[in-house]
Amino acid sequence: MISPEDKVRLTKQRFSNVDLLKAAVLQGEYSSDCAFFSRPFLWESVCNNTYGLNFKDDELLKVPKEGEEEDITDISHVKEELVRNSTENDPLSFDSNILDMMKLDIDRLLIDPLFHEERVKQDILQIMYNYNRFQPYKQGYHELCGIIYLQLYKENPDLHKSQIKIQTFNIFSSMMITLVPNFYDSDNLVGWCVSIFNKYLRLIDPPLYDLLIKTHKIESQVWLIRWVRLAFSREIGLDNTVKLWDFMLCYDHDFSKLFPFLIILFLMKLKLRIAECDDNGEVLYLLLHYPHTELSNEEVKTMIQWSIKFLTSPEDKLESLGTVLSKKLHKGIRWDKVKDLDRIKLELKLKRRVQSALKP
Amino acid sequence: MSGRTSTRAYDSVYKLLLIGDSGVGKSCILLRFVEDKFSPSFITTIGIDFKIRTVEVDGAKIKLQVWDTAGQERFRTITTAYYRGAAGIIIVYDVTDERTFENVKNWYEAINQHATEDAQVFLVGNKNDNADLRAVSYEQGEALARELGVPFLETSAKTNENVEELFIKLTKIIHDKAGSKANADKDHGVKVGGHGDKTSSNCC
Repeated sequence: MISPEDKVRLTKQRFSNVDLLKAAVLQGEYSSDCAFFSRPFLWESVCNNTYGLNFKDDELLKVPKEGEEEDITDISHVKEELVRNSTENDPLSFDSNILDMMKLDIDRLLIDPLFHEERVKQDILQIMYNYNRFQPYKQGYHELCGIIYLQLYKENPDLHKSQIKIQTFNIFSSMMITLVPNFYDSDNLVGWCVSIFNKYLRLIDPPLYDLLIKTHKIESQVWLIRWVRLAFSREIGLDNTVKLWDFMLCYDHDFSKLFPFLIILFLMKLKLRIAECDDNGEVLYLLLHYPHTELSNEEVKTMIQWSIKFLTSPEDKLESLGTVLSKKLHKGIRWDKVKDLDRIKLELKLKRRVQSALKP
Repeated sequence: MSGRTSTRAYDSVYKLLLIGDSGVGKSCILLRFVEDKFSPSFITTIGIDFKIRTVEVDGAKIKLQVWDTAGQERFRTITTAYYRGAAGIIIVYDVTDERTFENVKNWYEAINQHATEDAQVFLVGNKNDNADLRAVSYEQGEALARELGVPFLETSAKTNENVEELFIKLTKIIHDKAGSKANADKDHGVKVGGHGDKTSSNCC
């Protein structure tokens, strides 16, 4: 068993700079299969290198106790031009309802028994309270923060309390730089679903697009909201999620750049089951309760590579690429001839009927 | 709703929506209704969750698609999609938390903005299992429901009080309305599967 400190030392020895580290992740060379893999070190190094957020532990403000005045010291490192904005509310006042909502959500953070501990709840609350000064708290932030905290804790349960808090804060704040504007702003989220996700779904897999959007009339934002706001964590399981995050953090400064393609890939994997649904309620149920299985590092790497291929290919090539992928995922079907998933549905039903009739 | 199959295990489909402040127990009500389970602590709903249960009302098999929404989402672009096609909307407050009761009118306002006029609204005061913690009386809930012109029940997802009744009562109201509407205008039937594409379309 290699100690957390030795993992970091060996990683630094092997990869002398962050670019080499990122490249190693993308090539599948540095993953949880590697004996000295340190996810906290990877995330912290990449985030620090990419976003430059490097708050110190003494910069985190304490959460005011009930009836206590709020500390209004500005911890922002970013110098901004002063702009006069009109507002109906006192900008220095802190909405105690928000603090109550944070506490309520943190009490319901059930991703790991670790979060039952009062000390840990207080850490998450303090991180949320401080982040709220940059971006008003939204439900979901707490869970992403919890996932990061958990990874740091798992790697080194003895990590000093203030260290785990500030490291979580820095990684969390870095990731949120793209997640908040894209997905936590309701208008932008709807725009993203329609003009990015739907567009690529139509280009990559037109029959699947037709089935979801035209036949079942499912508005993508209805189910995508949880996929994207929690960066896949509720949909595909925590272990798979953090593996995907390793790659996505290393691929681009926009953490969400591969989101549409990865989600389309997950949908394509489920295409036959979606095709078999009788109504949009059944489809929606599947999309909101994605039947995931544990993915190996190799499988995650392959999914990332496909996503990058979709991202970097010209739009007029996406449909043929999608067909190639469908053939790999679901063998025995002439996907180049499939224009309508209804036919597949009928064939599958017929096949099942024949199989059950042949059973002794 | 796609109406492409003719062999369905239900006669009608209704979309129901659970709305209300965070932590009032919407997800617990849904879990109790669909799986007859209760958990004192329930993970925060992000966006929506969704469960399906088929019930029988007046001899008709009704498939209920129940959408459970996040408490923080109100008056936002995303919510318009939730309200679209909802046949029934349940506003939930927590009888042990006055603030959630005070917000009922805001939620009702959201319904007026986003839902169709014929959506049936139902007011529910949840967590009525602990008399010591009660902050909103039954009479206050009843009076507000009367003011809004909607039916009212107090429930407890924990003890399973009135949860089944809530959904059955709401479904019956919707079904009766749909029946009268169908009688009044036979071109707009609610039967599913009988005549190709002529289905109730209360989802999405």
